[in-house]
Amino acid sequence: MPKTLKILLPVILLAGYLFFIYRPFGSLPPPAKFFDPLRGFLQPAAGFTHASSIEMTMPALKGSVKILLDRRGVPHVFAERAEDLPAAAGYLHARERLFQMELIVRSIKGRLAEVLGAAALPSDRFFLENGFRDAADRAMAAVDQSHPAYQALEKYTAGINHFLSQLSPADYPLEYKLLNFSPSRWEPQNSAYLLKYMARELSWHSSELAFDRLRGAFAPEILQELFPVENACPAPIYPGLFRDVFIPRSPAPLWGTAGWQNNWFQQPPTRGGDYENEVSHDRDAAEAPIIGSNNWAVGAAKSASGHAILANDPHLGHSLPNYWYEVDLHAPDVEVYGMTLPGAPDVILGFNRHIAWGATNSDWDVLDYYKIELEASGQSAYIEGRNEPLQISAEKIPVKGQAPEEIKIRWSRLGPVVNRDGVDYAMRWTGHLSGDEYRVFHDLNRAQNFSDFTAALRNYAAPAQNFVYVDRVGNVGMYSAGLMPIKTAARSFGAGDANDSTQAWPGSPAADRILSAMRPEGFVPFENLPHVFNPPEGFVESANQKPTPENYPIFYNWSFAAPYRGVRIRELLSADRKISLDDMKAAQLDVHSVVASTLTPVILAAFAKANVTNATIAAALDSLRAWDFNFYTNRVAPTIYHTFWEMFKEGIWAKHFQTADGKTYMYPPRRVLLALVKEQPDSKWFDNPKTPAVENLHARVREIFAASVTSLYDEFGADLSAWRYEKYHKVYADHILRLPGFGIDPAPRDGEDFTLNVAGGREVTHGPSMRLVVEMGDPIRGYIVNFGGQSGHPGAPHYQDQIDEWLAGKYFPIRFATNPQDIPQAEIEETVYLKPKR
Amino acid sequence: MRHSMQWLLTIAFIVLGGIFFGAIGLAVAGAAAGWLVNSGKRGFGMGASAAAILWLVVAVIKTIGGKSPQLLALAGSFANLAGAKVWLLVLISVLIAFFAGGLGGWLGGSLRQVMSKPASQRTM
Repeated sequence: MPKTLKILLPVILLAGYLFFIYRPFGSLPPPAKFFDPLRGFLQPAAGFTHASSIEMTMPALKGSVKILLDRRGVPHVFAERAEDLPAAAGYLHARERLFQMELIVRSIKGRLAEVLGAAALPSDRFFLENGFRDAADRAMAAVDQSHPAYQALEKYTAGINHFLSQLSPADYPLEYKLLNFSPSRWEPQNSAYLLKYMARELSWHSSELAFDRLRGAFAPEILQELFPVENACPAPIYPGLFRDVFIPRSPAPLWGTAGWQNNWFQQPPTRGGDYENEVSHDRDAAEAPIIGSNNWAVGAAKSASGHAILANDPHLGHSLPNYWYEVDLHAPDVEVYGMTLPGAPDVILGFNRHIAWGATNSDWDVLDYYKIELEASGQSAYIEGRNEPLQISAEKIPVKGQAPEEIKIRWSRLGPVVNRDGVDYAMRWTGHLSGDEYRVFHDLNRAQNFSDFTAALRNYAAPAQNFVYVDRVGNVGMYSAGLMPIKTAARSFGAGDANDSTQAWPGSPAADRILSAMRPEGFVPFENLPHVFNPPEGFVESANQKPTPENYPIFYNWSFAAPYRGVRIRELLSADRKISLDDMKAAQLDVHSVVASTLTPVILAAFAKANVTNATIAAALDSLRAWDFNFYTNRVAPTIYHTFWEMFKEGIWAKHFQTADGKTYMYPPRRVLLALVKEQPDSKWFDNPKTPAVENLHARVREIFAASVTSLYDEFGADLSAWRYEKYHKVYADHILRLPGFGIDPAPRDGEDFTLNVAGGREVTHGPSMRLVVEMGDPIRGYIVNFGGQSGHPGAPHYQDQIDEWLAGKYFPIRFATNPQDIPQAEIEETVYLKPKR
Repeated sequence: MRHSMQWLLTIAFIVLGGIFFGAIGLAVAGAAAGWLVNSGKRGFGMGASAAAILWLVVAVIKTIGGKSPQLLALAGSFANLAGAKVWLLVLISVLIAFFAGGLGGWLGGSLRQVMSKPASQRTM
């Protein structure tokens, strides 16, 4: 072999080989890095497992911090100085949930495509064009930086960045290695992005465009019948109302409960006729998002122990890691226990030495669309008769593997200007007007009584929540907090017109005229928001249902989450007996369905005079007859009922609200269908327009029930014992990036849409994200369980170590320590000493 | 004796290179080993086998004796591999090391062979 070739051949081969193994393959990371057993997928991330003891210097600290991580990975943090607690929280969040935090921040900033590629471009466009990032940035630019809450954010940031400064690429969480990028440095405004993300999750909901579409296709009388305003709620959150709380000073007909709902459908739609719109095609748009929650509390008089007790289980989408990270924080001025959101320093739901609090989503309509006419150049728009310039910024979205995408972000005085299916709208959303909710939680963590509690909530803007309260003195209360826009009811039933100066939106002259006595910003004053303190029944509850009875004079939404969970809570708490901690746990796990108890007798009545010759249908009916309406996994009846209910909804409405060419209109809310079942069995809506005969409720029930039994027969066979609910109804939870193998295996799940232990749909992808019950005695006692676990590292010991307990309805006792010695040595998995730089 | 020393030095190079610099370190360490044995063929063999064994040992220790036995199964499920098939991922790791160390060893050995010959015998 020629000598030149003898050298060149291995040089070329080696260089080519190294080039080959050090470059990514499409979306896959460079093999030399990923398969390196010392730095790649086999090298666990920092924080994946817990060492017995770690000591480190953190320059941001003023005093020492001792962290004891227990067998569940829950940190019990003891700081010499309260100002150091956020730094410790930041360090812990970064160590356990770094990728989750990065993902959320990148979502809001429109920077997902930079690391995920073009597939994430729709998400980036959505978040940027809809103004989430800009609103958070503006809010942060306006904050009082001398406020302790902001200083806490800076400390929190320092804690995260201290962790990052010590992180080598070998110790990156697995997701970074898979996606081949490095963690971003944390900034204080990232916490505002996180809270904006949660506001979107919980309050970015509107049925207006769906209504516009309905109005282009259905007669007003039909819409009035099937989409009525939910005036009377069988179990409002505040049944006793607060005549003493709210003092109406303005003419009720403008926005009150009378005078508007009978004529608004007569108004022309913002857009005439039928048109394509992805938002308005959602047949479930009439229902609030499936995300909901339960909370309730009993005061001392209603409590078996004589101490107030609180329960809270927020319902969110199931994913791994979960939203929540449990902490126990102690410093001289503050001691607080509960669930934090990685990305923000304070406890969001939990308790301190004096009070406990929880939250559920308030289904207020806080997102309004206004059709807006842009001037020909696109640089300005007509608002209230004037041509007003828009704020327009060009943005380049970096995209992994391809050229950046350029977009324009447009803001009007009302809010961001977005295009929905060719039409320009300005949107008004309360979430755009806030951004410093971290201040609220900073103050809640330090509140000592109802006065402090309400003072903290005064600054709360979005997402609107029903905050439940108990304290060590035995008081109980509830406050629905957030920005409640003053607007006409028509704003919930279709997009408004930005050029119409008579239409009200927060801050508009019309709104000011409507409620001149109220704040000029156009929101209901905090004092007039629904709230109650020590109600006569001795308890409070909320489950996303309509908060107020009919005499609340302000319109804030046309429909709410179905009230049946609230009905059930009231049923359980109203019993003539005292309530214990165990009762609270049992109520959270309750799978009795108020709706099933109403609808099942209807099914049985439909067959009462029928000659049932099909043995399987007869057996299915027998199963329903023997059923107690509890959705346990070992029962057959829940499978039969659930299949029927899903097919019944579809069977009744699809023929009316789906066109032959496959277009779907928004379906009426479930409460309307149930009201028809109970009160109008001969309603025309039960008739199948595709048949010559005129069917009534019982006829349709028989037809649909037979079809649902047939479908179960086809799926599970003739033996009804194979139809057990555990075979049919399962919970799913993917990794937050939906990486295969990083989620949980589908597991049998009890409950249904309307049970307190909520588990909607057949494939259950949302439900209690955690369960907390706490009794404010001495000592404070409580139980908790998190969906998933403390760690965000796939495969780590605490990644999903609480799933089995969560599924089984078990809890872990809360250990709210007073000092480090309260944690038994056997319970301590790791001790972390954080020391200031001397 | 001479061979034992060569093996010992090769292993030392490979371990240091692999631990501190990954696959590129294995290649450089392989080149040093090849230079040591003054043969492209032997350099390939020694560099490749030492590198492959190092990666295999580390992977096995991490998977069976380490703190993260779940990671191999996790990566396996990500790659749609289950059971014993997850060890294919370790095999890929071993192959990457094998060729990095081997090609480095080939280059080192060849380089020294060429450079150590009298100028009159060089054809360059």
